[in-house]
Amino acid sequence: MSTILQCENLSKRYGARTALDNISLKLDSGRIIGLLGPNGSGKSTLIKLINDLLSPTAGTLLIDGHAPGLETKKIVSYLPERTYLDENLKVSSYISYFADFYGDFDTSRALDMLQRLDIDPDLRIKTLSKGTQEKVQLILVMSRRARLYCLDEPIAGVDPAARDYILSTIINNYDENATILISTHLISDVENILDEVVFIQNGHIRLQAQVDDIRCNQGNSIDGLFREVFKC
Amino acid sequence: MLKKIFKYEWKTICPLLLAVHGVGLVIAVICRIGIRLMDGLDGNDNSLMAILLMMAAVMAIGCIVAYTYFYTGYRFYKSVFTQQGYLTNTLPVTADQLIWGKGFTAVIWVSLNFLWAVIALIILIASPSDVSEILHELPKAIASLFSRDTPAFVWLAVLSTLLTPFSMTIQIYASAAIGNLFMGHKLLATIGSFFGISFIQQILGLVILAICGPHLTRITYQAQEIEGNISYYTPVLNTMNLMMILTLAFSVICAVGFYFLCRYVLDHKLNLE
Amino acid sequence: MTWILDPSRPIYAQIAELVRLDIISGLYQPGTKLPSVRELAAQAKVNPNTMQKALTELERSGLVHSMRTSGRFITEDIDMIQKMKENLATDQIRGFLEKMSSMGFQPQDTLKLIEKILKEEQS
Repeated sequence: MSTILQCENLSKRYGARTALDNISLKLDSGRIIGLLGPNGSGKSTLIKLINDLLSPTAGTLLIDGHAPGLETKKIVSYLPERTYLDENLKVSSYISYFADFYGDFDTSRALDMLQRLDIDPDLRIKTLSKGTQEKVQLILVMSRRARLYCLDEPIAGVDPAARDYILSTIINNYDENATILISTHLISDVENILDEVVFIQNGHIRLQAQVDDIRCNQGNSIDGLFREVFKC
Repeated sequence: MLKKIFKYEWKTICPLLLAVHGVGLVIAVICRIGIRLMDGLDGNDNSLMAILLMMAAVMAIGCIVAYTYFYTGYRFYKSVFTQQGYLTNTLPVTADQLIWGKGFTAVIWVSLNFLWAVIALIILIASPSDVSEILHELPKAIASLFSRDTPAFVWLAVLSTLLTPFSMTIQIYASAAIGNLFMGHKLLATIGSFFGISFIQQILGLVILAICGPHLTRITYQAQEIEGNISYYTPVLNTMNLMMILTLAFSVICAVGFYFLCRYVLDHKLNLE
Repeated sequence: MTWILDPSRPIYAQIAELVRLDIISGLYQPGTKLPSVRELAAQAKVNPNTMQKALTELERSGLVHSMRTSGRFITEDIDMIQKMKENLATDQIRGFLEKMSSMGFQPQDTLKLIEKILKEEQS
């Protein structure tokens, strides 16, 4: 099993505030990994560092052996917390946009998923509901055959039906050689699809473990363990 | 990738700008007709109403010219530094490709904007005889540019006119990059940065001219004395050449500085909401 | 089929149990082909890695065997399925008897109670 992501002594400070404090982390290929922590624990900061939207204050971060940049952007597919779609464009414009810029984008897969949701590609983004916009964005991100997917809070604030759709889209598009990093604070909703979890708190890694090890050794669900570790 | 950035940016900015400029031409035509109906301009009965109408039309044209600058900058700001930046900045492209790809669309529009304003003004005020005169004189003017006795500063002026869209665009982009560094009200900060930069540039330009001006005059007079051919005309011309070179060099240096500032912010100082 | 999973026990083990139950109950007939890992994972809403692990577990027990290219098949060994069925039933009854004894019922009392309930249901 190869390493897809490796951080060593990685820190990120915003002025006086420390978002990530000297973390070291190694993630393998072919896993679905939960990045779990309360709000403001540093989850989004780590994901933004992976996507080259932030520069580390100290330490190193390597994705498939490369520092974040041109090469890593070709193999990392990123779903941010917010929707980034331009309201004035059509869904089909985004399909061709992704196909043009990302060599690993699978157009037929994207069109197929849109069709299953009954979304007409000729519609403009602004005519879609907020929930549908989020689904379109997820479809775009998951239609890439990337090596690493970073999904930042993909199920926050959606209804149970949409949540089921999102999780099954993630599972159905998951390729055995890829790694999916899902950041969330809604653990019970995702824990059944995870192979591995990373607990993060105040910019520190509290725990990295295989979910089945937690269940076998502690007889606890991930949600239960999370509540114990982060007890107020 | 540069071509793709350009292609999508072009497709995105064109519809609105084409519409705005189209409407601007229609306004010019309508105002011209209105003025003519009031017997203004060619009828030589320039009533207050006709003059007001013309002023309104000129202002509309001015607004569209200003809006084009604003819009090209706004597009850059919006696609790179707002939520859309989450996609733009994770595309497999370099900061250079982003700036050049998007910048070219802006440069083209800023140039078109200038030509458009000339045409709109011609529609608004020029008489048919003016138009034929312009068409007659234009080739001559261009031809005389290439004649041997054209002073260098004319060429320098042409060069600086051609470079203006580039320096304008990169100044707008640099303002957006600075605006992005603020915690809130980034668009306001962008606009503020633009005027701030312009102001500082003006002051610096004046200071440089004030410092170098006397030297330039001395240099040209000295050169004159060596050649021994004393006339009042040539030294003035030489001084103007040198000043023009100085101004040009200053704006080129500024533009290069803005470019690196933009690149630095895109690479290391993104501050997306 | 609904997949109700308890998050405090390893998911793959629970899935292996559920699939085994489907085989024993006859939902998947002996000798037939199992759906692909991907399909099963999508049905159960679990990660394909987990489903893979569950099926490997079933392969180890001999209930399922994989043909290199054509997928996974249920064993044709009906005796084996029957035996597993009995084992599972035995386990259930043992557990039941244990619970009854913890309530103070001797095995023969339990048996009498069962016969009484069966008679009532038949009438």
